[in-house]
Amino acid sequence: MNVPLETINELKTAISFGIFSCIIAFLWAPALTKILYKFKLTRQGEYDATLSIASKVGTPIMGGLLVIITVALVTILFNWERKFTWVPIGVMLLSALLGGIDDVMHVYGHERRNRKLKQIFTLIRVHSDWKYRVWLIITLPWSIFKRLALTLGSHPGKGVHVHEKLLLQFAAGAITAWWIYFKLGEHWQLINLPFDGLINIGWWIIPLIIFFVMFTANAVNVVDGMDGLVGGSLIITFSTLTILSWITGYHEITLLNATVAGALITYTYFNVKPARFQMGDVGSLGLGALLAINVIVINKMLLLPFFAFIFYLELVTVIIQIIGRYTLGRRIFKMAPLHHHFELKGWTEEKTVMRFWIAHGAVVLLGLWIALY
Amino acid sequence: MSSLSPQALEVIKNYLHLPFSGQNISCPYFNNRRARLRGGLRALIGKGSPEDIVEEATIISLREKINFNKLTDEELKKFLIDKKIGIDCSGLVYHILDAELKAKGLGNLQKILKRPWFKNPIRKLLIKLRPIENTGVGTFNHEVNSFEVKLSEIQPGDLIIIIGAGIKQDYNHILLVSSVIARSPQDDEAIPNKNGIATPRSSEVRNDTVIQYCHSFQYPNDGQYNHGVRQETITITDPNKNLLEQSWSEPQMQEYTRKAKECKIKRLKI
Repeated sequence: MNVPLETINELKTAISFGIFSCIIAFLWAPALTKILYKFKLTRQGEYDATLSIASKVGTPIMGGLLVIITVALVTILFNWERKFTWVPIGVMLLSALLGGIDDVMHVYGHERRNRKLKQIFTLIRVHSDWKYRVWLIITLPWSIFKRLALTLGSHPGKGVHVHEKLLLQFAAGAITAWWIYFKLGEHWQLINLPFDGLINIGWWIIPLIIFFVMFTANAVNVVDGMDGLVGGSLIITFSTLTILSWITGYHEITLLNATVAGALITYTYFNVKPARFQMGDVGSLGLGALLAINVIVINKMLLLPFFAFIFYLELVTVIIQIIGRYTLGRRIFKMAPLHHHFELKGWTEEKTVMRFWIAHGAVVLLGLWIALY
Repeated sequence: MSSLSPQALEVIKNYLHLPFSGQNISCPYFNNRRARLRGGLRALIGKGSPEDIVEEATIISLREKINFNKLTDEELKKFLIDKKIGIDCSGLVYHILDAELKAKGLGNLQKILKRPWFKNPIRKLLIKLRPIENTGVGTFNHEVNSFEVKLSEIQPGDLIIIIGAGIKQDYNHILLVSSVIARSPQDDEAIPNKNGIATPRSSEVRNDTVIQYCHSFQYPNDGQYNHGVRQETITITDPNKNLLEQSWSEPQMQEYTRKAKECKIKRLKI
């Protein structure tokens, strides 16, 4: 088979973008590390700190900025295209902003007040200021939602709470979905059924985009914790997406995926054990949302569970653990997400990370194979 | 001597000496009545097995960066109590009887215990999912689940149920008979069966027969950190008198029981 020269050139350009973003990220990584140390944006002794014997307290967080900023800059400067790259970069920056606020609040914030519903009802009855009582009644549904999130395992720390995150992510997903549906035309409403073909799902794309963006962003966020795990897994995914989008003819998305993969190579270089910095919510939420959008734009939404396999698997274990806790009163896994379960079973961090990379790589490869039909 | 199966005795042993490596502590007492935690892990609401308890404590210690190997027995017990990890009386009895029934090939305790007072289908589903959490002294005491036996007929696996105890007479408690040891010469000749369990030639309780029981309890003078699962005895001094007239190795429990509204010896309807 003779591949047209133009197509080969596209691949060459994509590889160049990958190498370029890798070098750019490498050049400013030391500066980022210094900035993170200067502002003391380092890991604190958080409730959900990893269990590894070698403590990660003191390691800079927000290392994900390396990827987010590099990708945003390279794309805005060299690959800015209304139909295809505005939305992915916009969603990535919006999610990263939310994650960044969370990371900063974890360091500089203070413990947040969490009233129990019983206390709120008491205040509604007895508070001397009638205006405050009305305010409590108006905000009661929000308080119930907040309490529900706390009951389901959200630990009330200094950062953005789960119920707030979900609401903000929903808003980000909804804005994106609205933009895609009303501004970008029919192409975005198509999804590819493996072994069948493209179908137009019309306005159903809106809830699906919201769901997949939220789910994938949170899934990547959940996996972040072990040195190298998120970075390595995302390199596999974005490299595969580069190939897939090249094969399917999405030039701008090919370049974008290659840019992300390149920046991730540098990030992972600094993130493997012992990590120079960790991704933080700024990176994991941003890149998770970007991953979802980049798969949606090439109409392969249904294959997201393959391309985001390890992330989805880990998030599903968290959901199973919560269900097990409330229905059976027992832990299904020793600890969730899944990498902590293996850590508690005695696997070393390196062994867990590498096996997860391998498992993820195998399933992503399967996803690529299916995507070609 | 007659006693529970080795499997059930192993459960008791594990509660008396929680399977931590290096430390030797009994499982503390914890009752969710005051904490009223809903939907929690069973190890955290006083219903966990020894394995659940050790696993939960280990996970919390890892999360809080506490090295168990550096803790003394007292410190470890304090840790468990501070983290509200322990077992209540009915939880202890449930786990032991469950092991006993399984050892005898009678299935699990969940199949035997009935709760006809629950009519709501959602509640029934919850009971199926979380049987231990939905079992209390009242469940064991209910006439559909157990029947009363005389002191002279007492056997391992029987329950000593105390109803309406405490200052306000609103507490219930349960003890589980783990062994019945006959001191008369003829019973000393009891021959162990193929499972290694010695059965007396006569099941009648006589003078000097020792009833060994286990329970989980906190006496007021136990303080904050000295309570938990214990194994004690009642020596029969006169089989014709009731249980409270016998000699208890735990006089406090005898006194506690005496002030209660009711004290019955009951056996599960299997």
